[in-house]
Amino acid sequence: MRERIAIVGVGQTYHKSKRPDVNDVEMINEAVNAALNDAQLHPKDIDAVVMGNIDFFEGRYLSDMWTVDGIGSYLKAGFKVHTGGTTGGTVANCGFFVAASGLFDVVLAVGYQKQDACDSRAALMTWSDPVWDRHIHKGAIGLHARRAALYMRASGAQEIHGAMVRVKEDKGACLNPYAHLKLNLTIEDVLNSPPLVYPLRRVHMCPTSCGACALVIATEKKAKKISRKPVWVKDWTEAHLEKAPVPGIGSPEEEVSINALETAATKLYRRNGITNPRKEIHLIEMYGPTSWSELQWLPELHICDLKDSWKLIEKGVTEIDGELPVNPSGGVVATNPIGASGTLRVAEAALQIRGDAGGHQVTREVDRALATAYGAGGWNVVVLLEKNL
Amino acid sequence: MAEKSLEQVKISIRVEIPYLWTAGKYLARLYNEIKENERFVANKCPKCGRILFPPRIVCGRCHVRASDEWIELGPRGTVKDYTIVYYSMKDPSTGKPRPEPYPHAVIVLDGGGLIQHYLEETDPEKLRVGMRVEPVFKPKSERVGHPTDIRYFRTVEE
Repeated sequence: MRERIAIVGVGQTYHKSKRPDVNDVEMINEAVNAALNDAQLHPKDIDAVVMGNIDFFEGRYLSDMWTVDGIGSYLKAGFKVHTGGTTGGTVANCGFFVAASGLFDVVLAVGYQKQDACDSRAALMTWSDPVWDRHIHKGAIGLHARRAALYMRASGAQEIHGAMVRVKEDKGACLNPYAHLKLNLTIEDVLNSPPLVYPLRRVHMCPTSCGACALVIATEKKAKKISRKPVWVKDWTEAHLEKAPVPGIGSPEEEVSINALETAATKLYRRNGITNPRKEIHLIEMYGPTSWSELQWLPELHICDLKDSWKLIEKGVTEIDGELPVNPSGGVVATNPIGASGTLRVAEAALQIRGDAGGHQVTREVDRALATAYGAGGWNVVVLLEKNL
Repeated sequence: MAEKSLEQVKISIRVEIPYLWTAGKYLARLYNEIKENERFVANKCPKCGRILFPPRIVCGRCHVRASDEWIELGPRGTVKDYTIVYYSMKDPSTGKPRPEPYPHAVIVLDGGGLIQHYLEETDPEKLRVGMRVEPVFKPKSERVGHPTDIRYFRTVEE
């Protein structure tokens, strides 16, 4: 048996491509203070800390030690996690595991990344296999371009559908005070954006952002005392692929699918009696590294068939005022402090359930939301949040 | 005190760390075949039967010890899919950017196994999914036993 747990505080920084005004510790502290203020707690109220980032981007390992002052983890229990792009989601999940263990009452989970420290694209290449195929690797851009091209071929989607998703994401970002890229894009702007790797254009791809995000997680009894609007963490899970012989695919039979996301979602739905996710899930904050990801991965979450996902954007279903809003915050394509990006998905979904998202609050009532995180190698995290216990 | 008088300070450091990675005996077998014989070899999972290329000791899905029986693949293959790279990206092994645009393909080797590589043909009009290709190796004296011993794949008429 596990403890029932809730998110009782969320905090995030404003996101920018460069933050020369702060160092890592100072930046992290902005998010941690915001989360503690949101929960009306003091650092002494925190019993355990889980944190994470991609060490290679800041060029310094043992980030758990270097950030103790900013997080407030001095002499506290806890640990650091790193799962590449998925890190922020794994940080949230590990925070849930720790809180649900019943060993601690209040847990702080913090993801961060300060991407102005180095050329992230070069740092990111170190995920690929130096012995086998790093020399020919196209990086994250090539990997997602390939998936998008395969998706187009399999679904009949056109370039315009990727553009429509991008415009929708931008509309959300423009309403979100914390978002990084706010571009006021039109469909034409997207279609005229410089190509990177077909069919990906520059504006389709997530930016490199600096930022941090913190969650305060509490056990049921504490949560009810701390917050008037605790957001219940109903369930969480993850699934991982094997090492991919060709980046992005595990084998010839795997085409558009990343497979592990579908596995994780199916497990989560089954455990929670969800039989019609399209109706039973009210909002999704999906970790989509490109504007095409949403179209490729909604089918993995059993929201629709592969051939229908581009029709959802045509019909406005996934818009901020739609029946099933997806990434009303602007998503990862607008804001990508990698080690925090997955944590942000959970934080944003929680704010939407509370009705506290502000400018980008969706029009529909949200009783149940899904947050996901993704990273190269196919590590996928799926989190189910609910308004009512 | 005027905050504006405080200057932001940045510290620039370049870190170069040489690495020496071990291929392991299964990859080493493939690399030696490339170097000595211009051949691709793979092994198989005894449980699910799929071809493991590049070869490896354990099937990641079945988690059983892979077969030590070697099978030869290719060297010819079929383009499974390709895309065009329009942005300048440094080749991690040389540090130099590759002139763009250029195609980047995933090739199914005859007999099975996937490999991603460059194509000799760069005219998008002449690229097709399903086109037949073969590897062009560097001369033996230049080969070191690594996938970079293959320059690219060229179109073949059959």
